Amino acid sequence: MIQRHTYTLTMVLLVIFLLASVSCFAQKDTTRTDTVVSIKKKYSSVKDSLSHYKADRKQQVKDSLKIVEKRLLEENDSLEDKNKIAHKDSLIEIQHALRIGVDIIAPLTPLFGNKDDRGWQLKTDFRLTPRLYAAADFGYSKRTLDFSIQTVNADGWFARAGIDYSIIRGIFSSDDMMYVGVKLGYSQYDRHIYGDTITNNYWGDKTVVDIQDKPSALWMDLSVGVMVQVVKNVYLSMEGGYDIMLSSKKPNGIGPMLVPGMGQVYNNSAGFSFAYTVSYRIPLYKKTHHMRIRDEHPEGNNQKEKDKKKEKNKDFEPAFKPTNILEE
Amino acid sequence: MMKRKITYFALSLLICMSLFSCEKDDICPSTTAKTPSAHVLFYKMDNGRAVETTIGDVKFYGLRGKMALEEISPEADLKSISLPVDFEQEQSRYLMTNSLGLTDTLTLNYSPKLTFISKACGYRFTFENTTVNSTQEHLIEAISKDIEVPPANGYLFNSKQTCAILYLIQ
Repeated sequence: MIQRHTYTLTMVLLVIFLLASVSCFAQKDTTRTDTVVSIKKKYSSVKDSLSHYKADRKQQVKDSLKIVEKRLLEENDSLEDKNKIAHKDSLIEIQHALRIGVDIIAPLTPLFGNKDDRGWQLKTDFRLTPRLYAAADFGYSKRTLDFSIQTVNADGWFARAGIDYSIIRGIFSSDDMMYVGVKLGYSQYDRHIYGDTITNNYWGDKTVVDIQDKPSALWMDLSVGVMVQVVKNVYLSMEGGYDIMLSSKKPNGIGPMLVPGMGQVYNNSAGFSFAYTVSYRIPLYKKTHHMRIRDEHPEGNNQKEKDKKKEKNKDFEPAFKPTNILEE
Repeated sequence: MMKRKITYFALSLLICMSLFSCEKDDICPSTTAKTPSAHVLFYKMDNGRAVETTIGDVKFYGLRGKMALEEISPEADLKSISLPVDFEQEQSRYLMTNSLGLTDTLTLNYSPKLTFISKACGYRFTFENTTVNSTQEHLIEAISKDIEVPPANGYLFNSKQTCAILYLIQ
């Protein structure tokens, strides 16, 4: 703005000077000399006010720069104390609820494997804090696996208990979650191994392997899952788990081959499980929890904060507006 | 940030599901140990020194009661023989005869144990508390029983173990 005014002023001055000089070389006239004198006077007064304006403006710029510096230092201090993303502590009221679900896929095992397979699974979870859920499963499974040499039949119950931690919550509603879970699983089952024969043609030996025993297994389940609300209080969830065997009883020196709740065991330690459940939520009670959530609008919609902001920005508005100059 | 998290989740779920449905087909490698045979070496005493020797004209037959079964042929180099062990009994006996009709009997006593190899390979027998004995009348001068020496300690679990060293009279 200053530059624009000085430019126009100088242009105006130049024009006036040119006119004045032209009128000097022209025939001298008393009226013309009067105008030249008056123009000269006006020029000097304009020059004075311009210099005053320049000095004032310099001082103002200096002052405002000082204020900007002070504010930057303040902000820097406050940023060192908090995170870069503003968080605010807020009280959230969450609904504590017990969710009971039934696995839809487990009863369909006769279609996937042997016709005699059976299974069902119950999955429950209970909310402890806004992100932590205590989860427990219980189920029964009877499966037969056919390897080329032998057939294994495992028939027993299993249970898992642990914690689900929701990483993303509230996708569509407040109890939806994408979670990771750590659970401890235990199973006790009856095992029947048959099918293999050991022969010795020299002695005419033929031993048919038929073993029945009752092993047990303890494992750790790391799972990843999604739970979404379909209609009010009805949830659909999909969970995949990777199981690591912790300890297993090896009766007859035979390690775990097929464990209920864990599936087929690879390398005597790893297993995979999958569950697709429909659950119903029973709301129990409401409780407020402290939670640090990301502050989306750090300024907030508060009138108080808006006023504060205006006050801070007051120093940037120049008190002397240079548009007044030409009106003199 | 949220979108990235959701995609990571979806990917990991997909991976979990695909791993669940995929089951490896195990194949039993042909080099795995099966039910072991008793490996016997032949030596002779040569000027007080034990020297490897060939079986000569001695023939081995499995004995069931008093009946001799088929002849068991020695290894290609004729210096040792792998005797099949009867895992449905607790004793195996073998008849040794030479061309003159002179005989000796080799006896193996053990406890057979059904052992699990792997999911793909199945099972085999191993033999615990194995003892080897032989009559030393006509053909055998002495017998040295390696199976009782540590680390085997009477445990016969593969065909490469030496069960006994027979010192043949020649």
